[in-house]
Amino acid sequence: VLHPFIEQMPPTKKRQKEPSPARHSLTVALDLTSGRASILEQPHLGPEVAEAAEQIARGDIKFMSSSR
Amino acid sequence: MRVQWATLARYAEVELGSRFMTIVGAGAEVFGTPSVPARVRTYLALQLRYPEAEANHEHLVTFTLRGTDLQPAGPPVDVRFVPALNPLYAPGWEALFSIAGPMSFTVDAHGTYSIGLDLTGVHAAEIPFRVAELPASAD
Repeated sequence: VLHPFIEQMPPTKKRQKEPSPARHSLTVALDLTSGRASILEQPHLGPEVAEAAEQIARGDIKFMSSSR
Repeated sequence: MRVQWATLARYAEVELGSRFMTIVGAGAEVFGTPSVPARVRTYLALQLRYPEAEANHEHLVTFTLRGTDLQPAGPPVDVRFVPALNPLYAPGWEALFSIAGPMSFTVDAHGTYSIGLDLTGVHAAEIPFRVAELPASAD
């Protein structure tokens, strides 16, 4: 399986972690270059997943939600 | 808690409030890039199983990119969560917890890599994949 989502970007290094409350499942954006994660709260109601994918592709995750 | 299965995909998300995942193109295992270093963007989906006694307690899943030498190729990413039993959970059954979403990382060389999954500090699963050289003229 050849995967098309490749972009040329320089590496960066950072790390962040926070807890989250009780839930049945989790949609999360992971940036394994910067070490950051972002929990997405309403992925099926809007473009949240696509926007998060663009953010991590740019190495630009700005938040990690812990609500709900 | 244990990993029942885990895969890379072209797209994956979890439906809020249920545990149902939308997954497109599960089983992605080769990424093509004309040059390195390269930023790889993909999606991850995994399903966890746990006994009732582990519900409503905090768990930690750690994602680590491992390089061609199987050593960490980036910082580990910790995600803490507290699984809640589904209202339709039947006593005696293992409960489900689903995790999915976009994932991005940088590779410095072509070759074999993997995404390591640890649960509360204990290795639980590994998702292997390969980054292959793709001719610059290819789509």
